[in-house]
Amino acid sequence: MESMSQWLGGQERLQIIDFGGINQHNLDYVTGLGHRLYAEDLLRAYDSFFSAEERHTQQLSEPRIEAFLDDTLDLPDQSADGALLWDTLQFLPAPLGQAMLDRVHRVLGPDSLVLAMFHAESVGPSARPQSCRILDSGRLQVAPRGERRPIVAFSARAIEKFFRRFQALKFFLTRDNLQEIIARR
Amino acid sequence: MSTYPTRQAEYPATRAGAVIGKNLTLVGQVSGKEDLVVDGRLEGDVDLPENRLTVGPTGQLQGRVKAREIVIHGAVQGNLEASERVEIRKNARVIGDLKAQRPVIEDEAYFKGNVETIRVDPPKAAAKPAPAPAPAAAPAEAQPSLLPGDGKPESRKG
Repeated sequence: MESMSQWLGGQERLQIIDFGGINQHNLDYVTGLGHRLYAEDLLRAYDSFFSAEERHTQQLSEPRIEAFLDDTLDLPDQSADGALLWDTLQFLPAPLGQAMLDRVHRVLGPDSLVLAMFHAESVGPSARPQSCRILDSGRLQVAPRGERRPIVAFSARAIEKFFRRFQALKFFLTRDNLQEIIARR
Repeated sequence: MSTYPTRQAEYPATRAGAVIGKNLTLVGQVSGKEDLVVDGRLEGDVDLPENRLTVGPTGQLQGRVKAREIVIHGAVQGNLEASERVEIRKNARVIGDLKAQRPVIEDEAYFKGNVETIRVDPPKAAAKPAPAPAPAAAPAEAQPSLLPGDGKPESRKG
């Protein structure tokens, strides 16, 4: 988070995406630095867009995935400068998670940064989505939110493959069984 | 639209103003100088530059809003712009862009869109009176050079 904060603090008038569902801390932090914040609760959007059956079977057709992407992230190509994905992509069915990351890649401009988190494989299916609040440039408050959900396990190799379209990937020390990733587009 | 009763019992901070009741649907633009509470359905833009708009828990609004203060408990689809604050309360659902001096979004509210804060520059201190001119004029080359017009550097196109 610190490297993301340093980067955010050193820039002006950025367009930042937050997929964790907006909260006052993140709003104050990002807009306080003079940036615009595009907020969407990705997991809530997934629940309301797809039917119970689609979510249960996790069988999502390509047109449905495309429609979800258009509905959820309809920013123009290369119009955003950074994305706070938190741990959301890990709680989407794998093809949808990959499609969403590819869409994020498309709307980000060159050299943009992405912050993502992955639950350690050892946590297994008991992992719950986390609410992440930026308290200040060096402190992040993480707490479970919502119900337990099916989770896609990622090894370090799988994370690298997941972010294959990005130029560079940095792994940070695990905290609370969460691994932080900073990817540069 | 009824002007009375007001909703002060339910929204204590709301002053007397107009109410679109639970069972009313209004289609069209609303503008004026009075606070407005929407408990029913409103399809149209709202322009209350000096007043507050409150969308109650049963209220639904589809349209652009410009007001001094905006408080949302219900559902809104459209851009919100407030010269002072916007509050999106718990259980509210807002899809649209938000621009305000002080945006407040409570936990459990659903919000999708862009948030931007309006920065208000603090009032400038009154300019100090210019010191009395020195009895002897300074040499011409020591005086600051003045640019034409408003004193700002000119931008020139080549």
